[in-house]
Amino acid sequence: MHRKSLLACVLTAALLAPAAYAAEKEKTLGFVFTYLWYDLYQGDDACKEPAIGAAEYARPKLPKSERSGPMAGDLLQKLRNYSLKGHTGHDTNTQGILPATEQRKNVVWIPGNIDMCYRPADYDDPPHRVVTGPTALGMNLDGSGSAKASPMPKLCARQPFTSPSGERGINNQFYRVIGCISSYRHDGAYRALYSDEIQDRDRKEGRNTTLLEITGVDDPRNDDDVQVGIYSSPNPTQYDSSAKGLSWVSYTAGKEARWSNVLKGRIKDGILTTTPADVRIHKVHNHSAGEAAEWYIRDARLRLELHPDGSAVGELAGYFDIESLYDVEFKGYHGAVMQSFYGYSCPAVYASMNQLADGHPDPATGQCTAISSALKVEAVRAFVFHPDSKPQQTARPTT
Amino acid sequence: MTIAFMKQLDIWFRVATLALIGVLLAGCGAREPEPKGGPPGMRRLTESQYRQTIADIFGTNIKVSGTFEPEIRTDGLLALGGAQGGLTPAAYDQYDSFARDISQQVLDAANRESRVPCRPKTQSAADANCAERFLAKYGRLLFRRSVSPADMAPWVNAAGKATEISHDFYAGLQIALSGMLVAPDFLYRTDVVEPDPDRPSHVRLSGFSKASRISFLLWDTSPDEQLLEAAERGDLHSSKGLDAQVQRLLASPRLDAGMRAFFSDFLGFEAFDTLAKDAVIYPNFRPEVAAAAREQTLRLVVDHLLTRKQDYRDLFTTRHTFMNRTLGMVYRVGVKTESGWEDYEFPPDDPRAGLLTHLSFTALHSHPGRSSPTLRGKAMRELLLCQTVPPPPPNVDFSAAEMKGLTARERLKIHSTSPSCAGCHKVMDPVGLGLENFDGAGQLREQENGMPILIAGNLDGTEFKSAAEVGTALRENPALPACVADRLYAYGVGRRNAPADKQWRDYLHKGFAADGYRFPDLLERIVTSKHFYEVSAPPVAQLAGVQ
Repeated sequence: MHRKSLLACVLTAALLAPAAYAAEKEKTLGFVFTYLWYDLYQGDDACKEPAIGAAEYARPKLPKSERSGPMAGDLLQKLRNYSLKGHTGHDTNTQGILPATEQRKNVVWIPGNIDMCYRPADYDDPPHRVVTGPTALGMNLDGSGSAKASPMPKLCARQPFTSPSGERGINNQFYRVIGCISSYRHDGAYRALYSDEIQDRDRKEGRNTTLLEITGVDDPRNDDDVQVGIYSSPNPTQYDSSAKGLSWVSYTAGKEARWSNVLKGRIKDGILTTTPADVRIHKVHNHSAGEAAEWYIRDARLRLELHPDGSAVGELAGYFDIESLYDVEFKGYHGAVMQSFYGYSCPAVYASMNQLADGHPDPATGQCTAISSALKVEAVRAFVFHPDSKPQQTARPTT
Repeated sequence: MTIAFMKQLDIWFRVATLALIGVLLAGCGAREPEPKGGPPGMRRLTESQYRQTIADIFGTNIKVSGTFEPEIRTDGLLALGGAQGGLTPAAYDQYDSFARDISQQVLDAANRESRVPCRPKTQSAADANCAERFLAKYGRLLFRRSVSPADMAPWVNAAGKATEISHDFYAGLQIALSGMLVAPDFLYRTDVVEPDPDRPSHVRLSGFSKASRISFLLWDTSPDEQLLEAAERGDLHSSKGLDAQVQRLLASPRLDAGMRAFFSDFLGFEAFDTLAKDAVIYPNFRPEVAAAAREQTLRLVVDHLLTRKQDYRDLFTTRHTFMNRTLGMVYRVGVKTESGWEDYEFPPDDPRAGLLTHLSFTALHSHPGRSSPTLRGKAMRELLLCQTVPPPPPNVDFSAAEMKGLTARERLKIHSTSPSCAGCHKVMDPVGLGLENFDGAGQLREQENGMPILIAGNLDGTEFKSAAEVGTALRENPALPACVADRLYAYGVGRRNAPADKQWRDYLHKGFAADGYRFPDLLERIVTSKHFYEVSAPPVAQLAGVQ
């Protein structure tokens, strides 16, 4: 009996050996994004003055006798309250601002109790304050170095930036929109409550986990033909106690086909680049209700430095569809709450995004429907599974 | 056919039958030697026995919240520490707290209807009949024996007095039940002896004590109703009656819990309770990793030994194991199953194979920030081979261990140059160095401080050149199966193996080998043996009144 088992094992091993060798040769590199958020230049020269919050916009709505005075104390509270109108189903009392009854009594801004962030085009707020500095991070997406040389129709041609390292022609108009908003700035007064931290939390809770899978890798340093998969996953991204992404965790890609993207790529000297293609990445835009949204990135391209220790850093850039980008960042309850604190108003931001749009013009109107932006990417090695993949994978240690 | 031919055939048949019997006897080993027995003892319930007993008697919805006093390891087993240790005031306070909490849950408004087999005449007054029915029902299960009205009288009285004060019948029952839960009859497994009618001037364990031995060894819990009834009828004093109960318990899925408890003790898994790694050096060794590592090994033990009925020694060479995503991160293997466990096979070229390469060995027997060939070697010697390694001398110089930039092999060379160290370290370090491919968190590595790790050594004369070969060397060591057999027996009877047990142990080892080192056979051999129940003292003359 044992001899038969032994014989069967030997035969099985002999039959499997060539397949195992082939699998090792056709190597797949899996990653999880431990950071995926706007790549924002944080220099002091970005903004002449900070963006105005919705609370300030609300000042003219007050009775004349109450309009003047510094934005502080009771006045600030009252203005914030005015800017929070209309969050049906959400009691702003939980925000610790004013009792719900008083808030309802003060509904003056939005008729019909409809959230202004759901209907940004219906309001005409003063212009949003945008980045005026010359420097930004990102990529040269259109291949030109100036608005004049842009291949876009005139209506969409925007002045590009220069990168901190001196690269000209950086297309990142969405940075103009958000670069002066307190919550997007690392030196912002409210950064601890929004942006990076919220993204980290969402990844840890499995709401924004994104996987990368490079297949067909013959040489991880140089390979001119690889396939690059970008997949959204419902699994929580794993971090250690110091908030550093953990390596070698197993993740399963989600079942939604629209959030499974496959791009063509190449690796040169350890740097992965992909050819432009549309990419959709799952996001949530309403943290309370968990409503689905997405980054819909037109002509997206990835540039990633693959480090020998298994980590990777780079950028994912492209033209972000304006409507889906607005949904991700500003629509819904969180957008409305944030606007009362963090230096923007939904209508003003929405108008600004449309004014600065620089990609994918509507053939009928010429108005651009997408805006250039760039996401900073940090990733660590991971095991990427698909709902139909085999149960066992192995990897060699790198230490 | 002629008569002569028929006679010839008959002779051949008889010869063949005798030969077959001879072979079978040889396979089964010799007859069990005459048991010497040991003194009757008392053992405190272990934490897992306590928890499982409460769950079995009152239901899994009754929570035992709190921390138990750490158990003491003696002669290689916590089970033997429990047979020797006293009860500290702090431990008694804990038991008292558990008892009050359990009895409150058992008799709260939501549960009392299903648990109290009668209704008091009035809830505000004592009802001795109803109280006795309740207390006798649970007294039998808690004390693991039949209880007479006289046994229950003090508890019924206590319930009545408490009801008089509280004017609440159920509050009275709570007080009495709390008292039973801290009574020695419950907290201690006491060997009760009685005159042996088959052997004048000898004593034997009572049927109920036999039932407890069987149940706690095989299921890690108190005897169930069927076993108590068998004990009550005297069935456990006959081979047939005993065998019927043993086979029933062995065939039950609850055997898994019994073997999990034994191997948790045998493998020193109480160390998981305090296992911590330096989060800076091993960021992925999170608290859930330790729990998963323990579970991984216990799953394999149960699957390998009980489900597949495989050779015990192969536990140390098998490439089969179980994996979940928490562990996959540390083992660096992909795990498809998002929540839960899946079978995993280490590939043929993977340095991992067997229990020694599990995190439950490599990480458990390491320092918080680095590996330790010494601790691993010591664990192999003491836990798996039942050998004794003396404690270190009081004037140990640890400076060598702190030297930076060296491999463990280089650091440990210091031991061989110091006579006070060499004696012990030469039995620990060489074999522990065989697992240096695993860092302090049990992660695979090929280098230490930038230098390649050399795996080469021998275990009691068997050479190895890889971690997997350490497992093979251990597998071939005759002390390996002998150790687990000895420990299992000692765990079951609650006393250390004595020199007088040599014949029995030889018999047990040979029987284990003849059974192909299959664990269920070893369990059956022990639990149906005379040795398992034999007690030696005191003389019958001193047992006046003990019935």
